Amino acid sequence: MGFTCWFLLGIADIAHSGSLPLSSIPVQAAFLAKFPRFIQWQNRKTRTPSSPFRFCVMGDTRFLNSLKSVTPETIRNHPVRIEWVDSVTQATACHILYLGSQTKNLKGVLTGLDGSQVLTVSDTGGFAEGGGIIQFVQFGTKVRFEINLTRARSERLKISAKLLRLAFKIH
Amino acid sequence: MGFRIYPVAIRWLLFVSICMAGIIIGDMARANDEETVELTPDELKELTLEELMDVDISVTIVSKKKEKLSQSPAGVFIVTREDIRRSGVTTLPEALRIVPGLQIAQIDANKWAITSRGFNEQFSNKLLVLIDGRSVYTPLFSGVYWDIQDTLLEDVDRIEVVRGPGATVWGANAVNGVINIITRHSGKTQGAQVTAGGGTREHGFGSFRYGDKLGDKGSFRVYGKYFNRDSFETTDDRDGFDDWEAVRGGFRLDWEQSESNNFTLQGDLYDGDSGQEAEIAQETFPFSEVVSEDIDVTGGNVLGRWVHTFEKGSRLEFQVYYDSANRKDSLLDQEIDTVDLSFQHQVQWHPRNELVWGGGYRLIHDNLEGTFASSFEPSSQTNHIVNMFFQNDFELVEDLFHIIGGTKASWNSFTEFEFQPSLRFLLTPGEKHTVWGAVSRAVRTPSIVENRFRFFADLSGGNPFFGTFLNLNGNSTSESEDLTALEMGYRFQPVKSFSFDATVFWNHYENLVTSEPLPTRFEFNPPATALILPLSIDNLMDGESYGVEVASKWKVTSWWQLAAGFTWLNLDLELQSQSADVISEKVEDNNPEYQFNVRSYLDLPYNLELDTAFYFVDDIENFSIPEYTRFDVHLGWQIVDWVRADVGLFNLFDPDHPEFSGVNRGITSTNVPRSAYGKLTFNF
Repeated sequence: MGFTCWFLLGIADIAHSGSLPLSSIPVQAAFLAKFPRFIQWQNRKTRTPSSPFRFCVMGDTRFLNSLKSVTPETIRNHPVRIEWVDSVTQATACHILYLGSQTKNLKGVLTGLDGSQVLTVSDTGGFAEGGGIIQFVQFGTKVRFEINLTRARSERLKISAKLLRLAFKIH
Repeated sequence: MGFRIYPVAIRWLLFVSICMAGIIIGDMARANDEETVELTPDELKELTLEELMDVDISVTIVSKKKEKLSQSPAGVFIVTREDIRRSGVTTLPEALRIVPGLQIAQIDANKWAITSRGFNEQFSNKLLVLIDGRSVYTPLFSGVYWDIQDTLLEDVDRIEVVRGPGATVWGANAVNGVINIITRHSGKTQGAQVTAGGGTREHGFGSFRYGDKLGDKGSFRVYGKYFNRDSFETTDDRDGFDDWEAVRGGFRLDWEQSESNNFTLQGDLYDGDSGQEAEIAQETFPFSEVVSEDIDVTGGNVLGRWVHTFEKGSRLEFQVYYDSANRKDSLLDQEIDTVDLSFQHQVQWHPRNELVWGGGYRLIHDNLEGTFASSFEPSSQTNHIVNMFFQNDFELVEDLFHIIGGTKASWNSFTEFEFQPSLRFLLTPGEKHTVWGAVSRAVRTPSIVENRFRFFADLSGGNPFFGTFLNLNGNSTSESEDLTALEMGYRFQPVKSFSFDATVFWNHYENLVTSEPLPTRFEFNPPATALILPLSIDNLMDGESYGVEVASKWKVTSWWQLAAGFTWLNLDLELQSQSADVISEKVEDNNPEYQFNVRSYLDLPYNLELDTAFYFVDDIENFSIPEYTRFDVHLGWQIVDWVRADVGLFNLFDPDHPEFSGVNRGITSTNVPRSAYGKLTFNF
């Protein structure tokens, strides 16, 4: 009898970790819109009061649409701008970059952004371990996130203790 | 006799205990909270990080896993808590009246004929009905005794109705539809609640419920309720003797130790008297008797569920329940015990592929003490059903096109192996439109009646010399009824405040049940002599049905909602050439061809709710039941935080009307009268 039970659990553990289901996109977007409150960027990203705070999205148009409906007008008195980006060059100016499931050459994008102080976020399996900073994961029917603190530090992004406390896992 | 099942039941319970203890030592957890919540972007925006972590990203339906309603590849309708409250109904079957595609007809004060897509009867046998995952149709007829299906309506979270075959995932009997009644998580029913009321039909009713926390990880509720309902009148203005009284109590306990382990334990006990007037055949002159009696119904159930969520998001659910139902009238004294075990596992094994698979075992033990008029051969039996299923959802084109395929394989003691596959597609061109289609096969396995029934109906007409009886006999070689169904649906939601949902279907049935005449014979059993006209159950009928079901909702303003439902149904049955049956084909006219309803929910100042509903139901040709309209009004007033008053007025413009006939079962049907009641609810 015990064998049957272990067998069932064994199967479950093989589960491949892909992207999260579509229904989680609005929730992920709502999380993303909240993150800036818990993160400090160095000043050089927003030099003047009128320079925008940039949310960028790559590889998922649906996420872009969801994000538009949940972001505030301003963040720390900077106007918020939501942009669709296709290349690393465009992305270096972003504060936050969401990399959707259609992103091509994810590794290459992450390497290309080295040192450009972009908070990279994705729901792709293995993202945080593989050099991304925040990865959404599914826990049951709820959305959680993992943080790669090492990478955040090397990008000189300061993450608040509260966000770290809520993280599902810290790499 | 009832003892025989316990060793088996105990072994299976032991299995569950070992599984649970072995895998999560001492771990207990809260059942998955299955509240349907749709959040608008504006609401999402207002949530804190902690609140976002609590947002459930889906609802359960169709594939026994959580899925968004707008993306279900099936004809789905949800009766919400608000619908139940605002329709003012006091019973579960009446709460289903708003669902397009269903036929709800009251036979007498405590009996309903309810079906989906045709074949309506007191024991409509092609519908699967579940309460919190527990199957409640009786294996006796494969139909539902609606007089024993009850709970506190205030604690019902929602009723999910899937029209059409759901057999691939849900199993036998889910031929023409699945009704899934889901109660609220006990964490959502905290504090004390007392209700009391009465009216013209409702002589008196009352309930209490108390809910509290159990430590910091658990919660529970206990409830009790009582009602006493008046009898209706027959078509010739006599009392129908169908007054109805019942007392019921139950509990639900939810426990969450870690986020990955949820545990639910719940149960109910009931005792009721459901009145009826029935004609019962007897061996000696006058060969039949009309009795007015109370059917004595008692029973209970207990159910445990464990949901384990793995770190990578896959979900394993394990459920076990025991149900005991006893029912005694002049025709039959029945005891039916059921033990059911099931598990299902949902896993995203590939970025674009999600698999749900599972299996189950059910043991049914019956003890049927009959009479001359109605008996079973043998009178007691134990039957087993084993099943396995899988269904895979493949997202062929991202955000646009899904292919969903799977099958159920089951084995039962009557017909052995059955396969019930289905193939569906889901097309979502943009967020406003959803198109789906499905081709499925489903079977209905023979019920106890079809296998073992011996039934006598009196046709003597007062002849003092000898009795004449129609004698229906079950057939141990009965086959399953087969359905092949084609369905298509379209959902349109141009704006948040308006939705439209239409489904068309074509069903092809084979091997439908018939009653075939056998040679007439004389029987000399002194003191009585009888002419017997025997019939034997067979499967010699085919059929086709097609129809359209439409539901629409419109939130006109923040304080006014409109909703409407429409059903068109056509059923053609045809006996196979070797059949000599003369009654079964008439079932094609047991349903109204057209039905529609329009409802209005209006919020008024001073916390008042004024709700109205209009129903039109076409005539039922087979029983010469004329078409009828019905107009209901509900008025709710939240006087202060802790006191609420409700008034319900039903059938406002019609003194009474018949909805169905009990003639096929020897039951005297009664007319549904105009009625009114008032109710007070106190929350502490």
